[in-house]
Amino acid sequence: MKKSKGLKAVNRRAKRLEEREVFGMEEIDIMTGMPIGCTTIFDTGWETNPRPSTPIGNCVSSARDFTTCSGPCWWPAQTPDAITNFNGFHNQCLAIERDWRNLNYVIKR
Amino acid sequence: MKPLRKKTLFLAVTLLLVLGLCAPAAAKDYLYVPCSNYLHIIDCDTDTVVKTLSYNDYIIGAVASDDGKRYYVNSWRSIYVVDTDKQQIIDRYEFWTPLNMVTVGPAVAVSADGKYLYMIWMVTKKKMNVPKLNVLPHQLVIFDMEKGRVVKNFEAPPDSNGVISLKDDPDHVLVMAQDVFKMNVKTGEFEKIKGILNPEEGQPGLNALTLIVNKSPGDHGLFSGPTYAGEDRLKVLDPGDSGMEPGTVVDQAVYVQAMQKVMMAGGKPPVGAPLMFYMIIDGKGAVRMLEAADHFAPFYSTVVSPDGKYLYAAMDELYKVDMKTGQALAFDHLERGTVYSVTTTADGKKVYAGPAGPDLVVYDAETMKQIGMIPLKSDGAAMTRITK
Amino acid sequence: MTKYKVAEHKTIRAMERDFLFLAAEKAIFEMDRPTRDLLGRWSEAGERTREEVTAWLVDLPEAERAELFEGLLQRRAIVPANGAAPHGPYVNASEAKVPLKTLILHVTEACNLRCTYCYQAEAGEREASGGKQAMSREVAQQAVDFLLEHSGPLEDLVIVFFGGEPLLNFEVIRFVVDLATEKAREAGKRVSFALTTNGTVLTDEIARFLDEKHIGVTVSMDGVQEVHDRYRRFPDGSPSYEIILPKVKALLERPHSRPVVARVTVAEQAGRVREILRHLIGLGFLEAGFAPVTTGHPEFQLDEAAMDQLLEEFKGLAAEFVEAAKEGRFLGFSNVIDLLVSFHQGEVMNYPCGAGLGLFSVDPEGRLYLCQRFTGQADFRMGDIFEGFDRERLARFRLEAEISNKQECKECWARTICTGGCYHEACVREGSHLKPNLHYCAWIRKWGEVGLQAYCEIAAERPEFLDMLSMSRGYPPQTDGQVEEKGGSSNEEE
Repeated sequence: MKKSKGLKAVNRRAKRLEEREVFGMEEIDIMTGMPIGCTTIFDTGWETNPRPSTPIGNCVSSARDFTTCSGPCWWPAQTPDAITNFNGFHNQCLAIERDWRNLNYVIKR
Repeated sequence: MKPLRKKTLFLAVTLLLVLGLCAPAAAKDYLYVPCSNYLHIIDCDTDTVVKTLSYNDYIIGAVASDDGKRYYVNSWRSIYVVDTDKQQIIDRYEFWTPLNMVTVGPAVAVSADGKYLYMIWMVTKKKMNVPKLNVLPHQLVIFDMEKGRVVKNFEAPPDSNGVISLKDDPDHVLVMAQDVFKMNVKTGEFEKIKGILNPEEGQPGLNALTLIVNKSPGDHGLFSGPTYAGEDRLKVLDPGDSGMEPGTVVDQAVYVQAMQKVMMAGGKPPVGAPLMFYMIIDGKGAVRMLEAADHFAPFYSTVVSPDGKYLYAAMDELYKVDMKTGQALAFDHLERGTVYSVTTTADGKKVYAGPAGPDLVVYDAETMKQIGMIPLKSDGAAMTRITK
Repeated sequence: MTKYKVAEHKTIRAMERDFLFLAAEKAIFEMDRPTRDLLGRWSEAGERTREEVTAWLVDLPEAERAELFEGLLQRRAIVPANGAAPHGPYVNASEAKVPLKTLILHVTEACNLRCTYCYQAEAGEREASGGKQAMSREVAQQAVDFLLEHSGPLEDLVIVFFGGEPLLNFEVIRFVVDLATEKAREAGKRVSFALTTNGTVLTDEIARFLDEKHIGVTVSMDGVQEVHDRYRRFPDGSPSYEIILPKVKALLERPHSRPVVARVTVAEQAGRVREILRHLIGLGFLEAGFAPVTTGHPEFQLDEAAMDQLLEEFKGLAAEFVEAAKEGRFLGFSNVIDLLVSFHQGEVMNYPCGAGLGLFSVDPEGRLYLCQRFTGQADFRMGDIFEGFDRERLARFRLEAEISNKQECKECWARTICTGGCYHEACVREGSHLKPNLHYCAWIRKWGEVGLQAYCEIAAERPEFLDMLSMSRGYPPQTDGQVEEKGGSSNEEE
């Protein structure tokens, strides 16, 4: 847990508020026309998925599929394990197209 | 007119008026759309959200009871019970505990009498202070809702992930695993009725995407879902200048050769795709594979129209397919993006595709043109039309 | 431009250190000097943008300013000025099934004392049960089954024996303890037991039984003889203290596997609380708790002067408690312990107690009520253990009793401590169980301040003592060390 500046949690509730401390994600200008890595744009596995034709070789398609990429098959979107360890993860991002800025790294020690 | 006649006429007219006023209200369609943290209830006459129920959970599936009075919304660990008359969440079953970690598969079925839930559970047991985890084989669990607990469980085939009820056979359910099984709920016997990953002799191995059930209570009871042949053969959808016969299925090697020849000559290349089948299972459990005659697209889920004539399939596009021939009658690109579910009004006139975005799009079934959009509060995976 | 403001809070100074209590979150933080000054300045300045605030932090390097801001936002010490709630919706308990954890069994309605202020005597119209009936084995067995069936995923359940005077039906108590222990074990659960008694029937056999079966015992005693005997008398008017004393002493002197505590009803001598505590602890009770009498009779109610006296006594005891705590010693003053543990856990409750949620009372005929104080009152009946809960009534209660309905509580900084207070007290004093206990609000706020100050003092000097207090109340240890350098998070799912 990062040593916090200014406020130090004393009771349990305060500790829980602190536990969810995550590193901030800067607002990046994303050039969606350029494939710069499958997790930065909403196209899963662009290297293996010769869009715009059929997604041969891929189990799911692109665009708004963040929700399916987590859960049972949490590959390329690198989402946390929502089944066991991060059951409330969806609260970080209730609607992917609107809330993607809330996505952050999650650290469990 | 003689006075008596007049009186009779007057009485007759009054009676007719009274009867007319007492006529039962026309049935109304509602769309229940469970998304993350919010269940949206949509009035299909006005295509607006009329009520929103809330919980804190990520929803992976939902199913209505046969009589449409209850709606069961499931997340990985819980099921929320909705009373569709009161439009309220009236109960919640929670299955996961730290020592008995239960994950519920995305498709849950309700018994015909509305008393039991059939679920696939993935269970990992743990003892306090013992680091070892005991992962059980997948279980098919019968949950008695009145008692609030499991009354029976059977070991399910490997990779089972969901249960679908059979409208005309209350003693059996479908279990989706590596293949499609029919299970006797009393004896726990499993019978494989369609090979998917483990095909029957001479049949192609198939892939299916995520399991989503679009059935509505009171409908024809047909379950449908898209499957894709995973083999090195392609159907020629459009020959271009290659000279291949449209609609024929050729080995991939042959196809590639023909394509290269055309491209080197500067001509129009062919368009081909793997075989695709819509798997349609009726209320008794009989399986029909409808081959997509002239098109190919990845779909998350499909639904058969109430009159049984058409099949709607959706993901990035919305397709209308002829149930007799397997031909695509119309399609539209879903501008707003990928959707998971598709369903229709009870009269089959409107088609809804969603949720994700977060929104639903509304299509006119005749013209297959978008006629509306309903904004939602969050993303979801399932939706069901319930007629009241 | 989003504007932010300092969240509703209180600042506390203890042992020359500064602490922050966030009223909406029930979270307690220690603040360093610059943060304290920043929040103080910000509180006066009102709503400010991120840029404006970070500009104030002239002593910090650029990168650290943003980090500090984010840290405050993360901990909800600052919130967006437009009041948007940063966290997701709470599941309304009326919509969700709350598992049953505790059943209070009235094993009998009979009592061999006639304490003048008893709320049961005041209850008025009672449901026709004869009023003196004892619970049969059949009903007791059904109650045990009912508890197990409705406990959902909970593994630790509680049965409380109550009455009347429960030990008058010792036979059924013995039956229930053995039955419940066995059935719980079969279901993979555990049941713990508690008993509240007036102390008049504590035979040797019973004392042995209580110890063997690990039953937590509460004795209702009002303190030194003259205070106790003022209101706690037998039906013929004779006093009870001398009868009780030897039995209680015998119970306290023998080894007991679970603590024995005293419960004092303060009906008059509000200025003698300290004396009474010392007396009871001297007898051997581990702890004593004090509560002003709940009554509709003005002559018994504590008037304002008496409540002031009570507060003074409580303050004195709290100070003594803190002194002892700093040295690692324990003073058994239940009221301050409960308050400190409540701060330490920091659970923001939507309801003042578990009544109607995970806790219900059962009368000898098997009828279910909100809690032991409402037993016999038809308006608060929630079904019975044979037919089940009256779901509609229960849902309505849960909807109505939730804190967001209590308008007067919305602005109170102590709402997470009090949540409106006891339903029964509100019913008797305010006319409706749904109202907050307005007659106690000012007092509770003052007592809340005392508790907060005590908490911070102990946290500053000997924080592990607070953990120990929590564990003694049954909470799991907080695996995060209070020591700064230790990492690791408990990651418990709520």
